[in-house]
Amino acid sequence: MNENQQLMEETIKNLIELTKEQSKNDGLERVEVMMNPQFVKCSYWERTLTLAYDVEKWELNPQNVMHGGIITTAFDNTFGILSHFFSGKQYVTTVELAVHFHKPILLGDRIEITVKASSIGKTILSYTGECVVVNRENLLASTASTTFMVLKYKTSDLLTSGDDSEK
Amino acid sequence: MSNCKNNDFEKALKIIIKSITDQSDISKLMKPEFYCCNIDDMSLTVAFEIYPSEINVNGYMHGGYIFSAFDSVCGMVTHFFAKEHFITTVESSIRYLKPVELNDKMLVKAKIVDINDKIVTLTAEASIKKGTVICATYNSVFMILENIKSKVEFK
Repeated sequence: MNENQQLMEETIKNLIELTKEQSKNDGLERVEVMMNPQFVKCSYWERTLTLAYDVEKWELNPQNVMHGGIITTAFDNTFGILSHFFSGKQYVTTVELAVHFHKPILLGDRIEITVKASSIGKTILSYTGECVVVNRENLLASTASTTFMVLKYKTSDLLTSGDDSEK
Repeated sequence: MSNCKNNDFEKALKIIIKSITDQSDISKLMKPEFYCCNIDDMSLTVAFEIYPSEINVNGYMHGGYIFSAFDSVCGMVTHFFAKEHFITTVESSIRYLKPVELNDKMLVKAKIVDINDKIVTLTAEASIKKGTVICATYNSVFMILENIKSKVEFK
C-alpha cells in the first residue's frame, strides 16, 4: 500500500477512535459517537472517504423514517473527519451545508456516506457527498455539498498522526 | 392560505410540537419549547436549550443538531398547513455564522415564504443571546404528500 494512502487510513481510523475516547473521557454520549460511524474505505489520490452507519430507532422522525437532521449529521461527521485529515492539527468548522433528500431511509437500513473533496485550499475546503442505502442495492438516498473553513489561529483538540507537510 | 386567528394557530402548533416530541426520540433529546408564532407571516419560533450531549469535540453545538433543530421547526409549521397529510423535506441548506455554546438558549424562527398544494418553501434563522445574535440561517423546501396520512396530531 502506498505510504500516503496508509497514513490517511490510519489517521482517519485514529480520528474516529479519538472522538469516541474523548466522548467517554468527558462522560458524554455525543451524537458522533451515538451514531457509531464505521470506517469503510478512503482514497488519498481521489480525496474520498466512505463511512457506514446503521440506522437505529432513536434516529427516526415521527413518520418512522430517518430524521433529515440526523442524515445531515452523518454527512457533517464524514465531511468533518476528512477535513481534519487535510487540516492537520488546525481547527475546522462547517461554514455551509446543503442537502437534497431523494428517498426515505428506514429503520435497520445500513447507509454509506461517501464524500469527495472537490477543492482543498489553505483556508476553504469544498466537498460533495452521497448517501446510499447498502442493503437496497445502493439506492441513492441523499446528496450534499458543503464548505469548511480552517481556522489557522486555533488548534483542534483532536490530534492527527503523521506529518502535515506531506498533505 | 389560512384565515384562522393567532390563538388557534398557537394552540395547533403546541399540539403539533407535543405530538412530534412524543413520537420522535431525537425531538425528546432536543426538547423543543414553543416560544411564539404569527399567523400573518406564517412563522413559528421554538426555543432549544443546549445540552452537553449536543456539544461536538470542539466544544460547540454540533452542526447536525443545529440542522435538526431547523428541520424540526420547519416541519412543525409545515404540518399546520398540511393538516392530516404526510410531509417530507426535499432539500435544505444551512449557513453557520456563529458557534453555539453549552447552556445557550437557541431560538429558531421558521417562516413560510411560499405555499401551494404540494410545495412549501421556508426560510429560517437561529439566534442566541435572547435573539440578538444570529448564529445560523436556513432555507428549505418541503413536499406535501396528499396520498399518505401523517401520524402527527394537529388538533
